[in-house]
Parts: sequence; structure tokens; C-alpha cells
Amino acid sequence: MPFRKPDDEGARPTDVTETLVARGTAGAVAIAWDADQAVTALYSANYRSLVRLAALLVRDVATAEEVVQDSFVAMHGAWRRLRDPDKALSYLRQSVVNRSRSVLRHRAVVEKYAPKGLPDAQSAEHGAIVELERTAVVQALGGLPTRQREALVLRYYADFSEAEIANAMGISRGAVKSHTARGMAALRSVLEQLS
Amino acid sequence: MTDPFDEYGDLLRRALHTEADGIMPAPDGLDRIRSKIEERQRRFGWNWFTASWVRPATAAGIALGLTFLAVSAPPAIQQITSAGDQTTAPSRSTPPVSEVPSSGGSQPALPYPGSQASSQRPSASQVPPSVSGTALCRTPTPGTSSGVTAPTSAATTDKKAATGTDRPGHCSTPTPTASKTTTSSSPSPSPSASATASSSSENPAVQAQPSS
Repeated sequence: MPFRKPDDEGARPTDVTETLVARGTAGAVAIAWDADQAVTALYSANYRSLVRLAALLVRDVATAEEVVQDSFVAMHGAWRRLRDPDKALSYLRQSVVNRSRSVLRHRAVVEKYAPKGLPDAQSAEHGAIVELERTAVVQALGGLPTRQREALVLRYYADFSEAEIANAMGISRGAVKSHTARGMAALRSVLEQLS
Repeated sequence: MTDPFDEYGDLLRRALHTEADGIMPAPDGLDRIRSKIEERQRRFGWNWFTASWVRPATAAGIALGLTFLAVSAPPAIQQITSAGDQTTAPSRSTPPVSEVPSSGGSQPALPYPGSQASSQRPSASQVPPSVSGTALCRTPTPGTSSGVTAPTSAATTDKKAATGTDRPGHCSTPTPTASKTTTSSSPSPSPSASATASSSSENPAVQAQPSS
């Protein structure tokens, strides 16, 4: 089946920022898309922000790109059920969060049975980052449990509301509050040193 | 969200955005997505179904299934039908056995011409253990002797065929025969074996009668 690109008239403007995407502005986009057009349009608007979000969750850019690409493929398969850009974007976020969680779960199993030298190589990669603040925060964030890291990233990077975080993580708003509070309490010592 | 953490929230937000801005995804992401979609459609979609080898394989599988059904269905139907007959079989299978006593009842199958023979017959029917199936019906005849069995077995079998008592475990019909025996054998207390033997030796027609 040929993969069609959206019409030029209906193409989204390229100057849409990631913040707007994160806040769910896809509702302004024309709805009469088929699955291929929806993939193309949502890719141009959301791909970069989703990759960055996934990279903050999985701490690996290549893996983050795979996660987001698989999410787009899944969205293409589910487009007959979605048929709405807002639902599609919500579906993409949920899919990215869930697949990032799966990647981390798989990675934990792999690292459990891997030789001991592997984590040191990753920390050396992180040690190449110049800025001390970013390095310290990212390292501290990487040491948090998965749910706490997801809640903090979705709140402080994607600027999601509690409801959006709850929707993306598939948990209640109370659980979002709990994870956020515990994550910030765990980061407090690092952040106090930096502030 | 409330904000005991907002004092550190800005710091965290700044750090995360700085980290994320350094991440630049590869430019060929859309091509990869398209190739993955096409691969998925090729693997699981209509294109996969219409591939060159799938349709002949599907046709062969359907033909094989139909052949199996055509071969295995008639025996299965026969088995089901015969199973249905077996549930009603007892009412059908017994009549041939019961027909013999009924015909014997209308035409006396006793080969013995006189009442003497009939008086001898009870003694013969007193020896059921030799005949299969009548072992349980021994109770009505207290004067049974084992020596009587051999000479009168033919008569016993014939009488049983006439009364329909040759079915194993069937004790309903021997009871009247036993009562006959007691009434008729009471006048002649002599052993029935000798009486049977003498009567059969005196009258040769008696021996010819059972065979006919």
C-alpha cells in the first residue's frame, strides 16, 4: 500500500513549538486524515518532543527514538479506532511512557545478569557532560524509581497537569501527587547542593 | 500542584530542558516509521494474505479439511445412529427370545404323550444346576439330586425352551414349574432319575422326540 503524504494545503505549519504540542494543540489540526496522513502530520509536530521525553525517561537517545517510532507505528495501526488528533496525541504519550517503562524493565533485567563493567561505561558517558548542574540532576533523576522519574519528567519537562500525567501514566491523580512528592524528596539533597 | 517543591522546581525544570535541548533525533525518523509500517503490513496485512504462496497453501488446507470431513463424517454418523439404537435395544432384542416360549405355550412342546411323562418332567426340572442360567433358581426344589442331570438334560433344555427359562438369571418363570414339580412328584416319591431312565428306555419314541 503506498504511503501517502498529507496534502500541502492541510500540512501543519512547521513553526509549532514543542511546548504547544505538549499542551495538546493537535485539536486545531484538520481531522479528515487517514492513518498515513496522521502519522506524517503528528510526526512533524510531535516527534522531536516525544523523543526528548523518551530520552529523559530511558536515558538513551537511540532507544528513545525506537520507542517513539514504535509508538507511531502502533498509532498507525490503531488509527481506525482513534480518528481524532487529540486522541492520537494522548495515545502517543501513553504509548511512549509505557514503552519507556518496558525498556527500563528490560534493561534492569539485562543489567542484572550483565558483567559489572557495563554501568561504569554508562556513567563515563554521562561524565562527558560539561555542565555540573545538569549532570548532577540527571544522575540523581536516573537513580529514582521509574514511576517517580516519569512523574517528575512529565511535570517539569513536559509541563503536564496532574490530570495529563495521570492519563499518560495510567494512574490516579493521587498517585501522581504521591510519586511527585517522593521523587522531589529524594532529589532534595542533590538540589540543595546545587541551589 | 502544590508547592513545597517549587523552590527546587525551577532548578529541576531548567536542568531537564537543558538536558533535553541537547538531544537531537535523527532526521530519518519518518522514513523508519514508514518502513516499519510497511513491514508490519507486509507481515500481517492484506499483502501478506495475498502473497504468492499463501493462497495456494490456504486452498490446500481447505481441501484437506473438506476431505477429512468427507471421510470421517459417515462413520461418525453411523456410530451415533447405532448408539441411538442401542439405547432402545433391550425392548427389541428380547422378543425373539420370548417368542419361543409363546409359541411353545400355544403348542405344547412336551414330547411325552402321557401324563406320566409330565410327571417325570418335574423331576427333570429339579436339576437346574447343570443348565446354565438356572443355578439361581434352585430354591424351589428341595429334593434335587445330582445324578439325575445327565439323562434328563435334553428334556430339561426342551422344557426350558418351552417355558422360556433358558435366559440366565431369569427366575420368574421357573417358579410355577417348580410348583408343578412338587405337586406331581409328591405321589411318586421314588427317585426321578430312575423313573426318567426307565421311561426313556421303555419308549423309544421319547428319545426320538427331543431330537425331532
